Amino acid sequence: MLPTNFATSRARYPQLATIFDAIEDWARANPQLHYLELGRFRQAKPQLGRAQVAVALSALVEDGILDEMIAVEAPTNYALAIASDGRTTALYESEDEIPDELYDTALTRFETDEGELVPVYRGAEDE
Amino acid sequence: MAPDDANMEDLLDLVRLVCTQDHIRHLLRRAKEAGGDKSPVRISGKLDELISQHLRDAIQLGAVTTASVYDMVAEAEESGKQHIFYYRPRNTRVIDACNDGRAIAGRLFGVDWEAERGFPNYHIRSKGLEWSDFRVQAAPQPGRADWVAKLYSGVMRQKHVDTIREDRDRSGGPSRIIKIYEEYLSREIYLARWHHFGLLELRVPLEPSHKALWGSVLGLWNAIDPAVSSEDFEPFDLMSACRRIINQYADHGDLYRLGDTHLIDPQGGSARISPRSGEDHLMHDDVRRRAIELFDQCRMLVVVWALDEQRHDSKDELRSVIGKIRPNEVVIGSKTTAKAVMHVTHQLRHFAG
Repeated sequence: MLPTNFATSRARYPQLATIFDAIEDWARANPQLHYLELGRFRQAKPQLGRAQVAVALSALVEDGILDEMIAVEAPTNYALAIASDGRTTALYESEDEIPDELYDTALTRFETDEGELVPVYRGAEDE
Repeated sequence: MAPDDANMEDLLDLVRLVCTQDHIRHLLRRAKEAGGDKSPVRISGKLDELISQHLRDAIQLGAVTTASVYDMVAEAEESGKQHIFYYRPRNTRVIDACNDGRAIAGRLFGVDWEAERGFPNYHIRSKGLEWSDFRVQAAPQPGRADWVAKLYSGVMRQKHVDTIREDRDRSGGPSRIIKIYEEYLSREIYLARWHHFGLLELRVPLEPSHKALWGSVLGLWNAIDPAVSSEDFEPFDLMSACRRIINQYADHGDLYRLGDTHLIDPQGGSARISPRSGEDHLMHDDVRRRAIELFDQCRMLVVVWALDEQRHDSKDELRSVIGKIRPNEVVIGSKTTAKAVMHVTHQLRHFAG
């Protein structure tokens, strides 16, 4: 599950309390995920301002609570690709780390050039 | 007795080639538990440390036997990162013939196969198909037996090891990205496994193309043909099992989670439905669930099995794709344990009814 203790960032940005609440709610509603996918979060919380969400996530990264990562959306089924262990969603710190080929969730191999890069945030202690 | 230095290095190289961190930790943990509170066996650290230090020390101290290391290698290389094709015998004559494991071995290798072949042979490094093991295990019912026949083959494969970026040079030439690959002789496992209750498995490595995959399956059928003919078997269709697995998902939340599926409508049209990620359950979204319930037939289903350290020697989940290419096939994408693969086989038989 994504971390939900945002006390430091809340103290720095009290005006973003609504956004931090929303991220916490989302994390609790999706305990199977150890990362937050920005697009999916926005879809679930369309009422939140795009810029405010971006500032709140940046604050959580600056405060060492979350890390910004990259996932790859497979062209074969439009789901996030899984890591080479065949189990977990593949997350990368930079584009350079992404291998030439990945597997989608149905274990179909694809070339990562044909996939879409997707921003995600995971707990900084999940490394 | 601990092996000499050369044999120790060969053994550890084999472990490096085949085993995962989980396999090695599991072996070391059992040795540590057997040794009690004062056991010197260590189980923490990364893969290289586990093999080069902890496993080596445990073997030299006699806490882990070389036989148990070879058993771990066999289990690791036979379980996972493979396609499994299931077949059922067409009649009881075939079942009876297959249940005589020693006769099967005799037809494959000749009557003196035990003395002549010296199975198991883990250190074959061949580019062609070569028999490496045949083992028979008596079943609980008299007159029945399980057996495994294993072949090795080596293929030259490339592994990406580094990426070097060279920025634009003084003469204004373009920047260059250099990817470095190491070439190595892989160890591919082809395995036929007979279950005394009347089920034959053919396991072949993951292949990038259907053509290569069918070449592997055909090669394995040809290899066992002197003892087991493909004409005596029919594919064990798993699609009714898939439909039941979908229908009963709510009763089995502790057993599995569902992933992608490919469904067929009454006119032969189809729909593919995928959850957003590998961690999501296919049925935990109302829109997806209602759409899936409109279909009667399933052509492919991803099932993520929950495993248990005590019963399956692994606490990881196991992702499997049922019916990816053929209705009698399961793909297992990650390395796992023998008990985990057996668990999948038993569950599929159960749901097939």
